[in-house]
Amino acid sequence: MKTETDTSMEGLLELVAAARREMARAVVGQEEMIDLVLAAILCEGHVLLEGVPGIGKTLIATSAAGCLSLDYGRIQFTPDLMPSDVLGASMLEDRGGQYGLRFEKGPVFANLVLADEINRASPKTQSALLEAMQERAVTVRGDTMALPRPFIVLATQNPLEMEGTYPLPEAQIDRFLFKAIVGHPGLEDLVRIVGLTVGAPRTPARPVVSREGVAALQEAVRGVELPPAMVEYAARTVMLTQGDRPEAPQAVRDFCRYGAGPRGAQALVLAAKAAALLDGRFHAGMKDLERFLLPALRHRVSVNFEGQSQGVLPEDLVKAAAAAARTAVGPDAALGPEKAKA
Amino acid sequence: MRTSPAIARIRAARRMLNLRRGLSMASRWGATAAAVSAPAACAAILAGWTAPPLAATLAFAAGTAGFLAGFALSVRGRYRDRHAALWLDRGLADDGLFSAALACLERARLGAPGPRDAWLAARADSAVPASAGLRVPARYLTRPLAALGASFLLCAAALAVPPATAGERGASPADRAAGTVPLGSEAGETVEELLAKAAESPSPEDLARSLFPDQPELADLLADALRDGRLADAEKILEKAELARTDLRREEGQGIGAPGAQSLHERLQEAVREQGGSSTGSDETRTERGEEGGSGDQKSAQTGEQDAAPMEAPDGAGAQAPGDGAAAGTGGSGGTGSGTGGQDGNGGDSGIESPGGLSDPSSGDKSKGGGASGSGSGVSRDWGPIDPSATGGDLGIRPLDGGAYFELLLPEDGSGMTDLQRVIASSRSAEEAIARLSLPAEYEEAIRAYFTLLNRDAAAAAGP
Repeated sequence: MKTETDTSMEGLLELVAAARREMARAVVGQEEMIDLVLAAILCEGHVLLEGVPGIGKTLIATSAAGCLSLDYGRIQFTPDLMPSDVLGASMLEDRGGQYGLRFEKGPVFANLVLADEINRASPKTQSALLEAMQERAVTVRGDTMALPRPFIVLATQNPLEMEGTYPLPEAQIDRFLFKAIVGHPGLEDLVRIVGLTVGAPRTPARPVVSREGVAALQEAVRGVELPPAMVEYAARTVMLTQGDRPEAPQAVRDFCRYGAGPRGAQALVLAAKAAALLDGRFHAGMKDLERFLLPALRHRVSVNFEGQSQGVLPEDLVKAAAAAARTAVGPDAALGPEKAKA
Repeated sequence: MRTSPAIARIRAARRMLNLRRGLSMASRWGATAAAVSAPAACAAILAGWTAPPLAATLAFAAGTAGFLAGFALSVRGRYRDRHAALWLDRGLADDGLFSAALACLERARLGAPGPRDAWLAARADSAVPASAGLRVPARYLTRPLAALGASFLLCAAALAVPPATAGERGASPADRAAGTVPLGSEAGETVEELLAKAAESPSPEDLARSLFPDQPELADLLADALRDGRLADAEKILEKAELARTDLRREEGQGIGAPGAQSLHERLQEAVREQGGSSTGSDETRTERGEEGGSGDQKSAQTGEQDAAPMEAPDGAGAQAPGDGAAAGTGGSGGTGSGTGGQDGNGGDSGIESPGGLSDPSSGDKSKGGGASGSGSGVSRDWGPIDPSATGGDLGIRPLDGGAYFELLLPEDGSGMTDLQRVIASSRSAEEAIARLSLPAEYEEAIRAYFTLLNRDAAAAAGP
């Protein structure tokens, strides 16, 4: 790892490329998931990973923390987990005959926190973590302590075994930048996973980007140029996910219980910028906006009962809204352009 | 910030897009306006409301106005630089490079350039050559232009539409297509049939030839005048001819009042009487009124109703025409024809006399021979109000029963008029009234034929 961070444009692009390479080496398959986690880290946003056990969620988190030189903390959520188990607790301390309270930091005090199976904890404990996620600070007994920067939470939840779980409230889910559905690897990836993991112990991800480099990349992401028309497209997409809008698509009007809000638009634009930087550009376009469209919006759109009974997914509504918004951006599609024949 | 090649390319693309969009919108609007106005122009021509050149000009003007309106609307919603940049980005799939360069330009214009603006502008400049081949699809412009051309051709086709004849103005499209214009909804007789009947009567040419047997040019002039209903001209011709003959007699040493110095007017009356008598016999005059066999003194019947002599019976029953001397003067609203003899074969003539009541010439009482009160069952027709001032100076016509009947208004001294004068005056009044009412030409011909017959009968009734 370079001790000096090259903050030139080429240097930043090289940092991003190095992080992607190292993550891809440590995690077999799941390239899209790797980019998603890296984008969330570059945006300093939190990610909710949903998937069955054993598909590499923890490995992605540890690898990201390793290659980006981030402190890593893990919390396994259980029904009897208390907020102090997450945030930390005040401990009685003997100071030469006098007793005082010393705050013992919890696992939340890390750069990258893996909140495993977050939906198994009680709402009280969930709220403690989610408040820390939003404020990036912890308040205990009147004392407010800032969390280390960057502070990113990768929370997982298991869609199976829902008995005894506490689903996250919508207002708290909204605080996640992305919600990713982690699927099973394909055949080729599965063969590679088996071949690499049952042999000699694997080398964990090496730090290729310093913490300063991560901060520089986070700053660079916000400097990526996104045309105003693309920002309008993002905002229009978010608006059209709201079922009470007359201009919303029919599917949204019929099956949407509630749509995305301003956080959704912010997430969409920021994700597009991160996607452009991951792609080695400092300018973003329609392709970047649509790359993380579903992870940025699917958990902010809720399907009503009628839609659920018909098998409508939030992703369907998001896609319909994006399609409707796309037609309103830019010149008439009939204007082309088309390539002139040679 | 200098205008980079990328910015210049964006602006060129914007101008091109706006021009194409403007032409396309203008063509679409123009085509729509012309396509709508061209059939309207054709319909107006067919209805006789306007002449083909004017209608075609108006249709062209509508298309042109639509073209200009479309262009003006396209200017209102014209594309900006950011749209053109998006268009270029879409074509090159460069993920917003031109849009980013444009944003850099905006920041520089606001005095807050970003740290990477120069880098982005340089990248955009390098992409300019690749954008040279981008163009708007040709179909975007050719289709609206083709529609515009087709619509304007449609407007030009209005020039070829034949204008409506007077008869077609009042006829339904189906009648026009069939070439027949019924005189009433229940007429059952077409104009052609009625004209054929009228043609059986002595024509103006016959009358004119009888007056001027050795002067065919004069006879033709008189016939034309009579045929066209220009009775004033006909009278002038007669007067001139009479003056010429008087001069000739004077040169020959004959007195004006010498035997054989019969005036042309008198000869006209005589000729009418002779021809009328030869065609219909002694009972001829009743037939045209729908009266059957009225052998009595119809002169007295006519002169006895000077103040309000019904001229026409729309129901075709000859209601106003006294058919019998015994019933003469029984009022202006209906003759009480009680004549004998059956001339029902001429009952069809009675249908000519009234546009409104022509529908059923055989209806009414005329077939009964008794001419009982002249009532009829024809369908009346609303001819609208008639301006009495338009009916000439001598006589007037006013509608009765809501236009079902027409009443002939005689002047105060009408009793001093000869039958021929009265008929001529009434026919002139009728002509003017008909002209004011803009009747179809076929109707005019039918009515004119009726007055020709009436003229003949009146002359015969006046006697020598």
